[in-house]
Amino acid sequence: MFDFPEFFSFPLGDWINITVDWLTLEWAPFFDVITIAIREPLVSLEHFLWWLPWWAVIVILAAVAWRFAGRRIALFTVCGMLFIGVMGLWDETMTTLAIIVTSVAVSVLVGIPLGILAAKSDRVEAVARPFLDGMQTMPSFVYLIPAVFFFGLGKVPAVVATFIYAVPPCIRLTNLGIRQVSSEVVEAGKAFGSTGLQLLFKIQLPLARPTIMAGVNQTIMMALAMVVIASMIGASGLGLEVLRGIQRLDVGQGFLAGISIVIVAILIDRVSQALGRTRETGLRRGG
Amino acid sequence: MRKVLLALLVGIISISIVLSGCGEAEPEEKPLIKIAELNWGSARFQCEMAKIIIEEGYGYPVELVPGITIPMLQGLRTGDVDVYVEGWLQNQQEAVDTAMEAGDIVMLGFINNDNWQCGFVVPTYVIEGDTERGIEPMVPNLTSVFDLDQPECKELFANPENPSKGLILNGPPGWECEIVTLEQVTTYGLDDHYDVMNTGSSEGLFASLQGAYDKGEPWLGYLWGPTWIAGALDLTLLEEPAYDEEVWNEDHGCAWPSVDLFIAAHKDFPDKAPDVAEMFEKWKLDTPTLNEALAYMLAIEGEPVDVAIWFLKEREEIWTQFVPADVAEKVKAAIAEM
Repeated sequence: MFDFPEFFSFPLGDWINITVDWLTLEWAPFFDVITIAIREPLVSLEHFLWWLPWWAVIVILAAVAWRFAGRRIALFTVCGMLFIGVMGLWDETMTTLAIIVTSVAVSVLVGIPLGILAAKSDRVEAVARPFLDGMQTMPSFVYLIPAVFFFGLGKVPAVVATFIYAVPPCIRLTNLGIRQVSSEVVEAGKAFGSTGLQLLFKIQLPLARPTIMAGVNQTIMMALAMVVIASMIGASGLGLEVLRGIQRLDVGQGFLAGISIVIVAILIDRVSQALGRTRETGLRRGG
Repeated sequence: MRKVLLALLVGIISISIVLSGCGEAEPEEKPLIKIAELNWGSARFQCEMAKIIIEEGYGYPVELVPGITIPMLQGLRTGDVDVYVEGWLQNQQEAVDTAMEAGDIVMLGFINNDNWQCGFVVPTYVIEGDTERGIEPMVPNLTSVFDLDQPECKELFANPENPSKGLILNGPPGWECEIVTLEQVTTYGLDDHYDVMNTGSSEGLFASLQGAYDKGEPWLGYLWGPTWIAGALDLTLLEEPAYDEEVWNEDHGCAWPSVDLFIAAHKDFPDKAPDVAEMFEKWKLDTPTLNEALAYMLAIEGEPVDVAIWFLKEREEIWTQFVPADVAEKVKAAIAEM
């Protein structure tokens, strides 16, 4: 009497399996196109980062950090990257960097337009919200394995899985940022006869920029959090080193790779946060 | 009115306490046995089977603790789990040796040492084609690992990230096989022709093989047995020089030796449950038997516990050798109800 009656059950799990099989076989050309579109830029970027001399990478990163985030972060960048090099994790870090940059680029390219769409239409927002909730809370192992069926092993399914996990804040905060732009400013824009596109690109997006950048920042952080999980489907880099360490109970190796991930995270976080702030103050000065 | 309600409430609570107490009252309290449930099919099946036999036949409560090899072995040393079923000795030699030397664990017995069908594997249709699915043979003359350096093989198994080389998928990180496979690739002179990719996890490796197999695509990688996927798909093991201890110790330039599947226990376990320890000492299952069980699990799309019940019902002649006759009778009576 207390158990859930069995005759209510239906084979949803089987249907999902059948759907995944069908997608694997019938949609292979479609997934192959996506695979190539992600793999080619990613591998080129990785090879470019490997090709660059180590000191050039440090100089470039430090210069970017100095320009946008100040001297202290630049100093941290130099020390942190030197630490990674000394620990023998340079190549792994470059691979991870390439995966993160690609994942974030895909997330931003898809996320911001979707965020704009959601801001323009209440219906889109209402439909998108439960999907975004699902993407953020569904355990990633659940979609890692289908991702391997569709995209093979390695970095491409890792980027796809990272995208699924990391794109929601970008969409949410773009939506929020545009909706928060004061209606009086929008009214004024309309009164001066700006078209819909002008309104979007000259008024709404610039004013929403700090919020959007906060979303991008969140996306980057979540992408870094996926690094280790993505290595379970063959994405090389720092995540794989962490995995190797813990599998062998080599706590030291695991920690070193983990610390390297933290260094990269702090670096990208500070710079991207500063990017949001400087744009904001720049706009005020200009306006 | 309030007093009546209160009395009623007290009455209900006391009755429910008495009732729930009834269920728990056991004639004799036996200690809980915790078994490490390692995360692959054959180990999980044996754990479920041991659980049924110990609970129904010996009357100990059993808890299965799911986990992966090295952390579980650590748990065995500290006594967080009592028994460790189907460890692969040569794969964890160092960790086991350390634990044995420290006196934290004892070896109960060996399940078998006739398996380890592992090495470099391709789906059979890559060599022979598959007329039913309309797949042409891709490299009909591929038989041994030394054929892999032919240009048509390299091209067939090309690494999408680096098309000038082929790609060999390796086992999960941290497993002994990962390191050995890397060395074998070098010893066989394949490292100039092939990249080796770490698949991150056994799930990743299996998913990649299953995905390629469903699509009829070429696939080349490391695989071991007994494993459900080796039982389910038609795969061909590429030939390697036969195992030779000297060669193996020098550069791993030969096939894998057979491996000992062991059952170990925490040092206090033989005192805690001597009768169960004795059962594990007699626990023997050869590879064909394990593969059969795994294939059955796949065929019925069932859980390890389903296979355990099926095995207890159908393979009486095997498992009754592990236990005294009176225990066997109790188990038989119990599974008849399942």
